[in-house]
Amino acid sequence: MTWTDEELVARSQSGDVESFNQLILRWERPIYALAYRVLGREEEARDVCQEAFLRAFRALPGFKGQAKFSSWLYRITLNLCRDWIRRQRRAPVSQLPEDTDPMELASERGPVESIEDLVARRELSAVVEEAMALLPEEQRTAIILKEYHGMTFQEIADLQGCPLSTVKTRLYQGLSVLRRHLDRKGQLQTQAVSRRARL
Amino acid sequence: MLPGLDTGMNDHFGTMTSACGDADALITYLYGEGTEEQRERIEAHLVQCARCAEEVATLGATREQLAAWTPPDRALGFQITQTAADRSASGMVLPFGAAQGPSAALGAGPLAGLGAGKLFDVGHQPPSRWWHQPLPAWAQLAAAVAIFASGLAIGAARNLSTPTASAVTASAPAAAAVKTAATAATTSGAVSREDLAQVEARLHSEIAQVQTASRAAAEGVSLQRVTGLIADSEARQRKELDYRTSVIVTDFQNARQYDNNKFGLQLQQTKGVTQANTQNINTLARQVGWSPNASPYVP
Repeated sequence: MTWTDEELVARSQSGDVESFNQLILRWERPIYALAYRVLGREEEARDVCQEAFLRAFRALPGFKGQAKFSSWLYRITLNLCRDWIRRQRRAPVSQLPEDTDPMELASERGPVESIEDLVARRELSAVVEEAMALLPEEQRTAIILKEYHGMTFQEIADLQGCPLSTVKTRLYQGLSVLRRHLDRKGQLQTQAVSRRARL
Repeated sequence: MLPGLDTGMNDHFGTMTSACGDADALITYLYGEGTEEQRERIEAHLVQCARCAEEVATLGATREQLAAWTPPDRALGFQITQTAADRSASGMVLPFGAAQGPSAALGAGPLAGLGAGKLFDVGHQPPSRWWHQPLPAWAQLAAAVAIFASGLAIGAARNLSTPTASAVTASAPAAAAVKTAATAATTSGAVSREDLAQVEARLHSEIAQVQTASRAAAEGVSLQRVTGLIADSEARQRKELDYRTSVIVTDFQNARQYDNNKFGLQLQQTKGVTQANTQNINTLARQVGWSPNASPYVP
């Protein structure tokens, strides 16, 4: 039987640790992905993810269900990310995906994607990561929550503690910066491919 | 960016217009939010306004590119472990990676100073303090004997109308001492305060010995556990190193194969160009009446 988040929260609040572990299992990937995209660092993202769950567990008796459990968890995670960024006093450093095996990717994505496509996707991923690192934290977070976590404008506004219009402005400005950066990178790559072809 | 896009933001869906350069409306449309009516209004505007249509199209293309960014697929496996009846004593389990040890996560990592709980390995319960741990069987037996003996001594002392008595716990030798004292008291017919103080001091000494032994045993267990954790950590590091090495080798092989294919293709192209040139030269040679036998280009 699959329990809902609310049911698992209620069971956890009554002392059932295993129910909370089910919540962790359900949410650890999204929370890790959020922390990774905001921070741009694998190890720190994992630490933040762990700390978020630990804090949620400790604060569970005080959780009255005013918001969804996932929203609450997102808020805790974003607060931790913000604390970490403030402590570091610097923009997140992009890391190239170093543990991606093209052959594994090929098997995951089926035979329709060639090695060249996989390499291109990997390169694009690195370019996107690089571009995201250029954005101010608020714009980056808004785009991450919208693009990768499918939140509504209102949910993002609640999480970021700002008006709806601010969320839209952040999204628009962030996307515009990303577009310019990706276009520039795309042109550079096209030029490089042309040069290689001429050789 | 279109003129006015960064200045014409509206505050709410309700005030959203279809004016050119309304970023609020465009972003709402781009993400498929807003009412049906608003959507239709924006679509009508986009049909008439090529600039806004292009803006929406390029932003949509940017969004598609964003989908390529995926976080690394790492094993996480966090778990809450209940260390005691008190939930605040719970910790997180990190089954993957040695770097997630307490010092790494709480010291150098972002959790420093956040007051996080302890980290424990899978399958290991966190070590409780030594005084919460049960005493060894021999110590429990000794304590039981000591209590029994103390009871006898106190009973004897009371029978002899001695002013005070105390219930304490001690090990077997102490119990023997108490028995001796009790016997002496019975035979002599009186127990002095000094005798009782002596017995009490001896019992305290025995208790201290028991406690020291328990502490030493606990430290031994802790040492064993730490050694196990270090061994696990090294094994994980070796595993990760092997994995990284295999990834590097695979990447290298893929790159080499790609280069080989590319080189072969270029070689074939060069051959084709050379053959075409040869044919051209031969044609020209025939046209100018060059003897085919004298030409090195004639096959």
